[in-house]
Amino acid sequence: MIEFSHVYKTYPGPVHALKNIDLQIGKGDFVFLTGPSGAGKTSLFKMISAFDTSTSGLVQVAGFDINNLSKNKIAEYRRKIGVVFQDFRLLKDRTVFENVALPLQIRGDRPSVIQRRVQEVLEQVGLVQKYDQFPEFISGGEQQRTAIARAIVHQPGVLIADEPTGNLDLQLSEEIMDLLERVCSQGTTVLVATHDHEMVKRRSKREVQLKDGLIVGDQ
Amino acid sequence: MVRSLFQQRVGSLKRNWTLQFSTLVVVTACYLVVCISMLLSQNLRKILTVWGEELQMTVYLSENTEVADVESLKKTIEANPNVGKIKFISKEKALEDFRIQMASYAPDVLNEKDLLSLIPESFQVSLSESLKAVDHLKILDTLAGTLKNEKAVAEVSYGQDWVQKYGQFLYYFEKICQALGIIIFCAALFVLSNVIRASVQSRRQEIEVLELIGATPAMIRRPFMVEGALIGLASSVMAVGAAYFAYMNVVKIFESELHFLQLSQHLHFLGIELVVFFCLAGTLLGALGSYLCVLQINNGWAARSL
Repeated sequence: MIEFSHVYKTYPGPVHALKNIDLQIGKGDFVFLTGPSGAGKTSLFKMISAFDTSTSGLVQVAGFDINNLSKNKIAEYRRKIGVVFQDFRLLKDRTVFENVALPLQIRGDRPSVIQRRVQEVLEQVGLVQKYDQFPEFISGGEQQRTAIARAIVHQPGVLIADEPTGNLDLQLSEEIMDLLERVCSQGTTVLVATHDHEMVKRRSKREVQLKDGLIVGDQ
Repeated sequence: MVRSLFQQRVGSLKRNWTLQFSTLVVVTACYLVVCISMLLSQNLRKILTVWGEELQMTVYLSENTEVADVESLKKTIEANPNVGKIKFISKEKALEDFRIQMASYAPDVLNEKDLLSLIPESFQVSLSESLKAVDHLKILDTLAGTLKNEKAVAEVSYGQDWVQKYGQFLYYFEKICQALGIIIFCAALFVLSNVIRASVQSRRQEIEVLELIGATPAMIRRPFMVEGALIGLASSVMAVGAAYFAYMNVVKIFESELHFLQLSQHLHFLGIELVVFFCLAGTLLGALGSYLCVLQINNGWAARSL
């Protein structure tokens, strides 16, 4: 589902952000991406979400060759993945329902289909009662669950989450990780970047460790 | 599709009403300045043209000119496309007019018996009303030059000095109007683009999220353009309304306190074609401003914020 083959990324300077990355993640896998700041996690995420291309090498996600996407293909590709951020990135002037419905509206789904699907996802993340609330009036955990609901509502093949529990306490973090595991169990490939080594240990999942742009561990 | 887009934008206008309201106020103010400038320019031109319509040329005839020559000269003058009206003034009529005008100033002169022989026959020539006031001097000069060569013509007079000064004044007035128009338009455009840019920038997060979830650039820009067009339309309509209100009050002042100037009948509001053009241009400018602002930011923001 995700394939990096001999990938290098060099920024002007020159700064070598990624060096000879070889990585294969299969459909339905759950993988943690760990490493200190500056290890190259962000560069890797930018490539997976098609906001950057590699200097050399092959990056393939869900059948798309990321280095050779046209502008319209980029948008089409992004509709097939889901992205979750540490700071949630919810639209403050829209309700929980409206935030979650956005990807379906962009895809051009009918209102009745959107209504039904958003309802299902809100049930899945336990936010049915909060559907008409604005983000600033719900808790941090609920905001992150809304962001996850938005990332999975269109049933993407790949879900990437950048420090999804970074702003949450231990209990809420566990709830969010449980939710991501449930999403994964339904066939979605999940890639989570995190600094929380304790949580990674507790979850017993595959961990890819990055350091100075190199993969230093994959277990 | 169009209805859904319109509803979506009206919803957005409601959600961001404070920002949109302030944008609306500033854009309306800009449009109002442009609208009032157009109104002032149009009415000043009209008043100056009215003054110009009073310009006349007097063509004095030579002594003992044959009737056939007079008729021939009349035909020559009438054949000129720039000439509006032409009137023959006989010696007797000229003397009568002279006596009326001079009665209170020099009554003794009027008893002179030789006076009739001193006054020549003449034609009074007015220019066509369709001519631009700024062209009057040139046309009068050309016409006078042509007529002076006629055998029946003794002299041509059209108040050259006054006409020259009036023509120069009109020339500079037109140039100043054009320069001011460009300055006001640029200033309005500058304010407008900054207000729209601030409005779009404040919604950077929305654009960023839309990019992230797979909206195409066109999908992202289209609603902003519709919103910009709606603001442009509302602003231009309000600006025209406010300018009309101001115009009616000015007309009232000219009809009452400044009645002695007799200018109120020459004042007119912008014609319907110009109002429609102004509203369309305002709408287009709003849409274009939004498009250009979104174009600047709808390209890589999300990447930088990842």
